Amino acid sequence: MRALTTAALAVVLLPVLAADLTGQRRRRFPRRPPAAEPADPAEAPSEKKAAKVERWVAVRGGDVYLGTGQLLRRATVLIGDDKIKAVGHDLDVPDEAEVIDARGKAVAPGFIAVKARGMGAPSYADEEFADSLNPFSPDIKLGLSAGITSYLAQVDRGTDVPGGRSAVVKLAWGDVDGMLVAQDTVYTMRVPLSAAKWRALRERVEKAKEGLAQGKDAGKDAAKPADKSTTKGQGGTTPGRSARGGDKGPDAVTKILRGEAKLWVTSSGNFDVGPLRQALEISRLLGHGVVLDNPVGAWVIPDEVAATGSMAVVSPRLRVRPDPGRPDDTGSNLAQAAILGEAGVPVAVIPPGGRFGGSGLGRNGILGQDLHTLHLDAAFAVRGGMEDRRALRTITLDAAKTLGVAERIGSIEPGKDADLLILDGDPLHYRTFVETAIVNGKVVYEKDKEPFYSHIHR
Amino acid sequence: MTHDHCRRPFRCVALALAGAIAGHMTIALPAQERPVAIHNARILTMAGEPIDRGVVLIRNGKIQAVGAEVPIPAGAKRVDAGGGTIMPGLVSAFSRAGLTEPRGDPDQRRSSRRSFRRSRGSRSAPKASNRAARKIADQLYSRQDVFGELAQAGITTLGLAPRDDGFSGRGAVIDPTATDAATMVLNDEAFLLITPVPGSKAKKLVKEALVKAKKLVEERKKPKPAAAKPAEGDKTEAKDEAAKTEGKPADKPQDKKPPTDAAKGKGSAPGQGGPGKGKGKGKPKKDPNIDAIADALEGKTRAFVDLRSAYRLVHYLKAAGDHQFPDTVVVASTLDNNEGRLDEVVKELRGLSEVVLMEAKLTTPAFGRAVECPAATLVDQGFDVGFLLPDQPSQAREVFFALMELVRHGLPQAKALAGVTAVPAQALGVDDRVGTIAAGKDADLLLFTGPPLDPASRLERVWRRGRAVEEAKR
Repeated sequence: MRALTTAALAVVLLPVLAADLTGQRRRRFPRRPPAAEPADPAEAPSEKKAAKVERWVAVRGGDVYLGTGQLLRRATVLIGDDKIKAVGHDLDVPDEAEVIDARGKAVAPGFIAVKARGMGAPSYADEEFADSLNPFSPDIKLGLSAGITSYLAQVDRGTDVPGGRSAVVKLAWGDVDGMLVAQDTVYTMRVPLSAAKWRALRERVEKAKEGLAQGKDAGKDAAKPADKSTTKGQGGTTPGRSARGGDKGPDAVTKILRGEAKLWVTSSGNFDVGPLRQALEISRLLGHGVVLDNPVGAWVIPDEVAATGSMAVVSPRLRVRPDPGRPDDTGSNLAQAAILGEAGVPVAVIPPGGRFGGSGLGRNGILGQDLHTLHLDAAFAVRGGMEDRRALRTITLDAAKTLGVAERIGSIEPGKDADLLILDGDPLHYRTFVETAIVNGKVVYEKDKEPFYSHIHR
Repeated sequence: MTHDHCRRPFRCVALALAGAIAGHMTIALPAQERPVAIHNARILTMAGEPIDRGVVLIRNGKIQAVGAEVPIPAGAKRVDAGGGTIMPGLVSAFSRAGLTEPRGDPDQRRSSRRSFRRSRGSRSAPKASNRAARKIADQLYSRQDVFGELAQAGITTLGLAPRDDGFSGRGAVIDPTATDAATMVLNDEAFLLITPVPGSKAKKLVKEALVKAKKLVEERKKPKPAAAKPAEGDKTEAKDEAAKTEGKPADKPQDKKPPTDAAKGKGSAPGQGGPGKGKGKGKPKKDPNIDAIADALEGKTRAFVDLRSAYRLVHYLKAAGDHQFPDTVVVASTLDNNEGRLDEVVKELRGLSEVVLMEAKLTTPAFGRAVECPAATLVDQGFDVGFLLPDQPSQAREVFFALMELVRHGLPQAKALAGVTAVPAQALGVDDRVGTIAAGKDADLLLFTGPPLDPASRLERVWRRGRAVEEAKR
């Protein structure tokens, strides 16, 4: 009798639950079949590899969000030294491997804050950023507690031509050699450009292209003089700021043309359709997609943006009031990340600028709280209509793409850096905490051992 | 104070008359002086177990005997310690006292060693320079009240340190009770101070200077057909003898130097040679800064490395590489919570030195509330920890309260007291004369009314080389 009622109840409730599932995306562990086949077991370490690896770590049994949009349930991530060696089910885990039990937990790639401050990078432009990184900054732990394992530190910015200094820094606590992912893979400039400045930029790009065309050997030599003028040009517009250390190696334009660096374009005013189209024009000039930094008007022309191969860095919860005269193509709201994502534009998410925290993550907000909200900003993108799996990419793989370092970080795939998080729930849920953070294969944060969230038990 | 002022000129004249002998021992008293016996004292020798109700016998400024059963010779001046405690005079190994011009207003006479000169949010990379050859003793303003006041506070030996980032220069050991520059400076090349800072330029400076100095050391080692002396100088390496005749070996390789420059192609690093002194010469460029560094690499002088944090330590190790100084003392002139503490990188620290001089301070982690005692951690790990004494006399008098705090947080009492006497003396290389109470050592003594680490005790008398510094006025 009782069994019957239960069954009846189940029959009644199941559709309801199912309906709820589709309607309310923000459940912890939404029931969805694994999107991908388990990784090929052949990728498990062969004998030859095992000889070289000194330290194995296996994160076992967790639901692994690969960062590419795929989810492997109850899978294992095998780490050899500082790299991911294999992901999947039924892996050959070496006997000596240290096993971290992640059953009932989520495993996700470390989050990437594409704009941030502090956390170990210097506030000045050093010739080699590696010479000034502080692996003992307390902010590193704060960032790790929010799941951030890498971030972009920008110390100088270009104005009318690509320039500035930046470094992608990893929160490798205590390990100064493990901190620098790359330096100067991101250059910046501003639009709109006046006719003269546009002409100057064009000449610069043509010159750099000529240098490249003259052959690989001549490439570097040709880059040198062009580079000199780069610093000069910047010096003219922002005196005393960008000349430092900028003239080492090939110049910014050459690196961008070669595809070795990304150009971030921002706008000195509203980044509406007008300046946006000029930014896209720059990307066509360079032959590479640019990264649009906070393009408020991009949702109006998402297909144009996608066609240039450009990317966008947006803040979903940044609401910009539309121009009353042009309500259809100005302003911005929660949906912008989703609209761009739908069009196929890789989107990276940052917290909003403005009164509480500036334009990036840092300790400037109320009690440093903006350092803690990166995954919530991705959740805002979901709220605006973005798919869950794509939303996680906005702070992992797509974020890495905007920094030009996607071959090293941003996803849990064999061969990539072993930067991952063990979380107690869906990575984008507001209830979720980082329980363990692993950077370069080493455990660098444990919730129970650090003062930030150890008092919260679930 | 006023007494002091009146007395000093007289003493000075007397000394000038009496001391026709060369060397620093001239400060010592005339040849035959009446011995002094301090009795009825508990003696903390810092060289063994304390002696209850012991006697310290002083003759000619030296300790002649110490112990419970020392017979007091007839005719000796007897000083009854009244059951108080005797300990060695304090050694301040890393001080900036007296390096600023004396001012009329005593409030302005503060040292700035402790101030943060570079704020964390700096927009430019830290700068460093090579001034290894500079002697801080040259910048000393000798006639300053601060020295007498420090002596009254119990500091009987003072190590003065330069300050600039990079190769800062050579520190000096001085006698705070002396009255003029000539007798005050006991050793103007006591140590080479390196203040490493992070940043590409600063690290390059350190790296290149060390490589150059290493080359110079190797050249010095080569047997020379002309003179046999340098080889001998190298063999006696760490002897203090070598330290005294230190000027000579620096000059010797002069004739050998030009080949290096030619071989190296000296245009490779313009500007790195020396923002200090050795610039502007022609071909036979000889950089005294490199000489000074080479001396330290050979172990003729010791090296002090001012590493305030784990951050600075790891970057210094990367810059210095294999070029380690044989005789290194790590100094932590401040402890920066934002850069990791030295006791968090014990392994790396041990590779550099077993002697650490640091502030007598407790710390709190940046995001925590726990109070930690880095000194106790390092002592547990087997380090010799010395403490930096404040430059301001009023603060120097409070150092025992700072030590009490450390003791309360796990630092053994004996280690706390050794940290202001034996350890800094060892660090400065003056442990053959001061730092402990033993026969043959200078009679630099402090008399407390009770145990020094008891808040109820007070410092009653200070002797510097057997002579009472001044009756403590309280």
